[in-house]
Amino acid sequence: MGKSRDRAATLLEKYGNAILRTAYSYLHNMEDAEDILQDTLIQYLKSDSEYNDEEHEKAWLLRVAINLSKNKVKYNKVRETDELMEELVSEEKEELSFVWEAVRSLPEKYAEVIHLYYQEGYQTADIAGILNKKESTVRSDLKRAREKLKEILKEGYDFE
Amino acid sequence: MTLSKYNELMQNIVVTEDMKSRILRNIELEFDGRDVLGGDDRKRSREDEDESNGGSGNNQKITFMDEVGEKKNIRSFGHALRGKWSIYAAAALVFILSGIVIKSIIGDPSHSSSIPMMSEDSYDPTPAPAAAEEAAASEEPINESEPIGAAKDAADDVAKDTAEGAAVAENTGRFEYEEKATLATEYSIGNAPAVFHLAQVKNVSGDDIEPPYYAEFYQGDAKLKSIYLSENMMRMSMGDGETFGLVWGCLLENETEDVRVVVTDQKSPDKKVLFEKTYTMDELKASASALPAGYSSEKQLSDLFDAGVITE
Repeated sequence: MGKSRDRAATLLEKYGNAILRTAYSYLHNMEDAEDILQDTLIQYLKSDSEYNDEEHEKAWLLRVAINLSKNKVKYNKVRETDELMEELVSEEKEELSFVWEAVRSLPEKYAEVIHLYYQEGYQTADIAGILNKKESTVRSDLKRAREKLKEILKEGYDFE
Repeated sequence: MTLSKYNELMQNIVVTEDMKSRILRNIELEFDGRDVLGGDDRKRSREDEDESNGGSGNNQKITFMDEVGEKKNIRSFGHALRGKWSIYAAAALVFILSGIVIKSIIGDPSHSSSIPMMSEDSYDPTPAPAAAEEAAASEEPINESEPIGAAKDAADDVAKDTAEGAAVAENTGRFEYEEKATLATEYSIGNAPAVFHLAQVKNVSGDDIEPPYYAEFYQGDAKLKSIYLSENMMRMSMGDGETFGLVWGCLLENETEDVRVVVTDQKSPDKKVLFEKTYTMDELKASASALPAGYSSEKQLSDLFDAGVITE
C-alpha cells in the first residue's frame, strides 16, 4: 500500500500549503481546511487524470479544493473558530489581523480572486480557468475586490 | 504586484508535521480498505484523538512557520479504526447491511418497522467528494455515448410519467425546468439510502445569468442532508439558451416517509418555486429502474440526460 502514502506525501510537500491556504481562505478554520486538504489528495489519488506539467497538476488540485470548500460552506456547518485571527490577535499582529478581517469580510467571489492572484500568483486568465469563469469576470471581480479593500483598509491597503 | 500583507499572513498557515502524519495515516486507511466504517470516520478519528488528548475537538492552532519545529502537539492517531474495535464495528456494519438487503428482498409492505439506518456519523455525508469527482471528471474527455438503451427507455417513461403527473413544473420566465427522474438508491459512499433528483434546466431569459436554482428535500419536517450535486451547480454562469443537466442527492432520513422536493429560483424576488413534488417511497424505488445498466455510482446518472445536455 505504501504507494498511495508516498504519492500523498510528495503532493503534500509540493502543494500542501497552497491547498491548505486556499481551503482556509474559504472556510476560515483549520480543521475544516485540513479536511479539505485530505479529501483533495484522496480525490487526486482516485482520479486517473493526466497532467501536462506541475502547474496543470496544481491548478487541478486547487480547483478540486475550491469546489470542496464551496460545498462545505454551502451545505455543511462550518466551524466558527478562526485560528488564524486568534493567533494574529494573540501575537498582536494588528496590521495583519486588520487585513485578514478585511479580506474575510469580502464576498466569496472577491476573496477567492484576491487569494489566487496575490497568494498563488495566478494571472486572471489562469484564475478564470480554475474558477470556471470568464476572464473578464475575474478582472472585474479583482477590480471590485481591490476597491472594497481600499475602502476598508485605507492607508493599510497594499494590494496593487 | 507587491508582496502584500495578505501574503504575509497566509504564511502563517502551513501543513504541520502532525497534520501531515494524520493525513497520510488517513489516506493509508482509505486506500488500504481498512476504512470499514466509511469516510467520516477519518474525521471522527481525529476528533476522538483530540478528546483522548484532552482537547475539545476544535483546538487546533495555527502553527507559525518559525514555530513548526517547536510545536510538537502531535496527536498520535488513535486506534479507533484499528484493532478489536474495527472488528466489532465491521461486524455491526455487516449485520446492519444484511438487514437492509434482506428487507429489500422480502419486502416490507406494512412499513411498520423502521429499516436500520446508518447513523450520519458512520459515513461521509459531505457532498464535496462527489463534486470533486465531477471536477476530476471534467478534466477528462466527456463520455458522449448515448444513454444505455433500456435505461434510456425507463428514463423516458419516468419523465413522461412526471409530465403527466401532478408535478408543479413552473416556468418563471427565465427558465424551463424539466424533471428527468427522482429516485431512491444507495449513495456510493457508505451505501446509505439516498434520493436523487435529476432535472434539465434551460436558460430562456435572453441573457447569460448566474444559475440561481436551489433544491431542498424533506421527509416530514426534516430537511434532508445534501450529499451530491453535479458540477453544473458550481458554475457561475449559464449562457442564454444553454441547457444544464442537474443532479441533486440527499440522504434519506428513513425509507418509509414520503419525500418532498422543492426547487426554487433564489434570484427571483419571492424565491419563486420552479418545481415541487412529493413522492412516496414506493414511487422513488420504482423510479430506480431508470438507472443505467451496471449502475454503481451517482456519476452514471448523467446517462439519464438527453444528448447534448451539459452535465459535466
